[in-house]
Amino acid sequence: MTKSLSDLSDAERARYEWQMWTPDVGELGQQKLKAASVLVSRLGGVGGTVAYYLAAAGIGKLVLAHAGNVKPSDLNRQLLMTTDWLGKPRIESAERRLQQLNPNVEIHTTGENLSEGNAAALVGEVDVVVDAAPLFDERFAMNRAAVGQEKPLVECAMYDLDAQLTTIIPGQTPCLSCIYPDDPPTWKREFPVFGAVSGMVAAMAAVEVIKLITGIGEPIAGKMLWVNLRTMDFRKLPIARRSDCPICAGVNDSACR
Amino acid sequence: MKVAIQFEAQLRQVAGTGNAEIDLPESSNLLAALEQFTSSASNELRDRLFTQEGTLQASVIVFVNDQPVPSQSANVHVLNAGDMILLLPPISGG
Ligand SMILES: [Zn+2]
Repeated sequence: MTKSLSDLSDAERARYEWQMWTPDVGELGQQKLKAASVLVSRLGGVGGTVAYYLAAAGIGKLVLAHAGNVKPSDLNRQLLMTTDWLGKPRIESAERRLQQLNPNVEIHTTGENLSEGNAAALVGEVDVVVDAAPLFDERFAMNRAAVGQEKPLVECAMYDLDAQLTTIIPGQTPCLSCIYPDDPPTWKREFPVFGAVSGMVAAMAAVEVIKLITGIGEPIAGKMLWVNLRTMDFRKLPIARRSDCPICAGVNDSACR
Repeated sequence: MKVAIQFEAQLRQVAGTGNAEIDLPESSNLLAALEQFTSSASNELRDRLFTQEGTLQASVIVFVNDQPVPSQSANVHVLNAGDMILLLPPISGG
C-alpha cells in the first residue's frame, strides 16, 4: 500500500468489529483496508456492488468511474442507482449511496468511463483495480494501465446466469490480453442479467480485493473461476500467459506481492 | 471414439445445448473435432467458433479436460476417447 497505517478510532472499531473477528484480519487488517485505495471502473450491476461492499468494509479511498444518467433499465441490478435519481448522473447517485452507507470512505469520482485517455491517471491513484466494464475496449485500457503500473487487477464479468472471475498479478499471471488476444468480435454491450447474478460475482470480486489488501487467503491468480448458476457448477480452471502477449510479455514478477 | 463438448454462456444459447457428444476417428485433433461438430450446426455457431480463415477464434477460451489449449494449437492437439472439450465465449457483462 502506498499510504502508511494509522490507528482506528473507537467509532471505526465499532463499525468493523465483526469483520475484525476474522482471525487473520484483526485490527491490523482493518488498518490496511483503511490505508488502501481501489479503483472501480463502471458502477453497474457488478462494479456498483463491488464498490458497495468495499465501502462497507472500510476501504480508505474509492476512485469511481462511470458516465451517463440513471435510466429505468439500470434499476434491476445497479444497486447504487435509485428511482429518485432517474435522469440524473449515475456517478452522483453512486457517491451519495456509498456515503450514506459509510461516510468514512474518501470517494473520488469521474463522470467518464475508462478509456486509453484516462486509464493511466486513474490507475495511478490507487493500490488495486477492479474491472467491471461492459465493453472490452474499456477492459483492455484498464488492463494495459494496470499491467504497466504493476497494480493487481480483479477481473469480473457475467452474462445471463454465467460469471467469471480472475485476479491478474502483473508479471506473475496471465493478463486480460493473454486471455483474449483479439478484441472479441461478437460481444454486445446489452446482455441478459439478473441483479442477483451480477451481485454474486461482485461479492466474490470484493472478497478478492479484501484478500489482496489484508494478505489473507490466496487470490484466484493464474486461474479463472467460471460459475454457471443454472447448474450451480463452480469450476476453477488454469489459464496460461502468452509469451507473445503485447501487454505483459516483458513484465517480470518483481514489484508485486 | 467419443468425446464430450460443453458450451457455456452465449455458445450454449447458439448451440441450443450445453452438452454434446461426438463420435470421431481415432487420433482426431481438436480443430477437426470442432469442425465436424459444427458441420451440421448453425452458421452462427460456426462464426462464433471459427475465423473466416478457418482457424479457431482466439477470444474463445478452450479447455480439454480442464487444461487450456491455445487456439493456434487446436490443429495439433490430439484428442483421446473420453476427452471433455470446454468452450468459454468472451463475456464482459458488468
Ligand atoms: Zn498478457
